[in-house]
Amino acid sequence: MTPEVDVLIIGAGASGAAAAWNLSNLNLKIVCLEQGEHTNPANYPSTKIGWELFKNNEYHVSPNVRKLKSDYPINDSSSPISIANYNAVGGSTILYSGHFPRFHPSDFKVKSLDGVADDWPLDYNELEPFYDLNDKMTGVSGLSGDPAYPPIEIYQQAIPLGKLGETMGNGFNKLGWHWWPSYSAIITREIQGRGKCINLGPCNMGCPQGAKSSVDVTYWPIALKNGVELRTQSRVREITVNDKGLATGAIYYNAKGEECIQKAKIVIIACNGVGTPRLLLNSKSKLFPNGLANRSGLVGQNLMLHPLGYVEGTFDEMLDSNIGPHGCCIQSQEFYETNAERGFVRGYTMQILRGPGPVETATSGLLRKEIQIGQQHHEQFDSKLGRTIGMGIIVEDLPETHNNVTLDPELTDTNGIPAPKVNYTLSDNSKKMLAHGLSKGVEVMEAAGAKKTLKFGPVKNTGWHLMGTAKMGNDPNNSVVNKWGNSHDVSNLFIVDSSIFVTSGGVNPASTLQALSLYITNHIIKNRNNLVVP
Amino acid sequence: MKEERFSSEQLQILYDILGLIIPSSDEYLKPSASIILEDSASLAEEFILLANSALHKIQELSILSLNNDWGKLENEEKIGVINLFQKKENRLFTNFCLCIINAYYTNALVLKAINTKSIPPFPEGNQLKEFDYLMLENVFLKGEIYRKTE
Ligand SMILES: Cc1cc2nc3c(=O)[nH]c(=O)nc-3n(C[C@H](O)[C@H](O)[C@H](O)COP(=O)(O)OP(=O)(O)OC[C@H]3O[C@@H](n4cnc5c(N)ncnc54)[C@H](O)[C@@H]3O)c2cc1C
Ligand code: SF4
Repeated sequence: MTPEVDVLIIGAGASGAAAAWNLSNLNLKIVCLEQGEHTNPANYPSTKIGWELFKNNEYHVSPNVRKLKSDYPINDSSSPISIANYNAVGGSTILYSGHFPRFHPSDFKVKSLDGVADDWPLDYNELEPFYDLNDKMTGVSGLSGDPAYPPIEIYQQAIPLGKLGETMGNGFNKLGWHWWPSYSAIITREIQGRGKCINLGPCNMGCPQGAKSSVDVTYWPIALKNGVELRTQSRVREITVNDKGLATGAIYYNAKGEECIQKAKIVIIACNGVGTPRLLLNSKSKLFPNGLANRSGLVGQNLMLHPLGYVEGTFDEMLDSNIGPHGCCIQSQEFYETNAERGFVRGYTMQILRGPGPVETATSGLLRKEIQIGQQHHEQFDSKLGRTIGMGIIVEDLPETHNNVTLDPELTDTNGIPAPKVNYTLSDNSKKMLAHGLSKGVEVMEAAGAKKTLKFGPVKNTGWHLMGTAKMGNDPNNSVVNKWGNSHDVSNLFIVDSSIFVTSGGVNPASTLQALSLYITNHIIKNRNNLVVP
Repeated sequence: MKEERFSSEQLQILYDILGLIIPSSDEYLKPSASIILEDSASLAEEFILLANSALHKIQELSILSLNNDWGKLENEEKIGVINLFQKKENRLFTNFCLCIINAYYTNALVLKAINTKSIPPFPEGNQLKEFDYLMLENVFLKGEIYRKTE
């Protein structure tokens, strides 16, 4: 057993890194336990000529396909959407696109405005300073003045849109719809020794430039310099409690598979919307027979995944669409806010995606019978590569208890820890919203000049936004943590990842979950002397 | 690796087959798919396995349908056999083609011939067209579209 520390953080991904950095400014002894390892940007697939092929194995978005030592299996056979994540220092930000929009003010008032789900126990204004701080620490590029948001100060010039962005912008303009350059966690000007984006493209397999703001290059270097101890290859099995119901630390397995104990005064969980409920449900004790912090019975419930719709347009002219940051170009929030006439509540973001690389162009073309073998192959291939534009429709799904994370009765990871099982179905509201988004996506592709379009959804391997499984709220019977991410049941236990989201918003969650992590740890900093600890 | 896995006769047939599946093109300045056999390191284990099965099947179909060895067939006849292979063994054929595509479109010469701009390890990166901010004028002038909550 190692000596007791002031703060134990579990998980070194987006939210854990922000928490570690924020707390590292104090004179506290902080340990972070992370089941994965440090990645080496020099080894990222994007430095190799066969980079696209890694998507099928070591850099697949699903841990069930990757099967790396750092991964745990997830039974998602009862969901049309498979879970996507990455387990390493940096967590899922190693693979993320860095599309970085904030929630809208209305996202925090869903019940009052639209009569569904619950309001958040905090609002946009309370979170705003932490959004700003997070943007500054992360390095976010974009353009101020977006009429879809209250004023946002942007520190880095927007990523160049390329011919693709301009083409889509013209399409949106023709229809008179909103669009704006994406808020991108990708730097266009060098900061902190990180290279600026040079428009390579394969951001989803790690950015060798350090331009994409994954937290291994943003928060972690400073947190480590400030003295945080990051223990990799350390997989937490359970959080321990004393007879007063306070968290006392965690039991974990080190790289050799040995069982270790880390004692702590404060425990912060940052394992994401699937890893966090799994850990809590695995932390059963006499005082908490249904899992830790689960007196409400809501741990694991209300899983939200943002069902993703995909629209693709093929254009005659060469757009060089296969170069540039894959997920960051422009976005439209024309259909973000509720409009009762559409037949559903809430809304979605249209995120423009750059086109696929050569292997994906040829393989998807072959499977869709758009590109054949034989003489015609080259002409058909040439009519696709660099000439397609993709669009993701990020559908705001609502919290529903039949969508959940439980423990699989049989499946375990390599340490024998029970694995999570995901149950998910799309509600009628989500289905209607998805259908609306797909048809509007085709409309704007055609307005932009697409000669051919295709659409489908929900897309299978896109369960990368994991939210709602330990929701926050004021009522201990109807939430797992309070507005400070503090467990209602265990006074020295905090959760900082997107499992605490009350609703999912219609945007990618990283900006909001990191702002929340800073907001919660700020509260810990201010109130640490009043916390009841073991 | 290829020498260990294929006999010289098999290799010759494989050159033929790959050349028919993705032929070379003067117009697009692209080599035929047989180029992947030149770079043994690019041949995945899966390719070797599928190529062996495909070779077996194709030789069998040449005999069955045309009563002749693949090596003795005219070009048109070879294309016919490949089409028959595609029809009769669609799954094997598709997987074989996907493997060929994987190796072909990660080959340096092929990537140079197509419009991929900078290729890994991407020393110089790519330039993208900047955009004209005036394009956003109407979006901006339309005014706020988010709901106020106070
Ligand atoms: C392919 C892909 C693309 C994405 N694109 C975007 C995007 O463009 N914009 C956006 O906003 N979001 C995007 N996301 C989602 C975003 O990356 C996540 O929402 C975010 O990283 C979640 O942060 P987190 O801290 O909750 O969890 P993570 O970043 O997933 O980190 C959790 C960490 O906890 C560790 N952990 C879990 N359990 C244990 C345990 N028992 N013991 C020890 N360690 C443990 C894991 O190994 C992991 O490193 C994307 C995700 C993926 C996979
Ligand atoms: S496009 Fe930019 S952010 Fe993406 S991998 Fe390349 S340099 Fe990194």
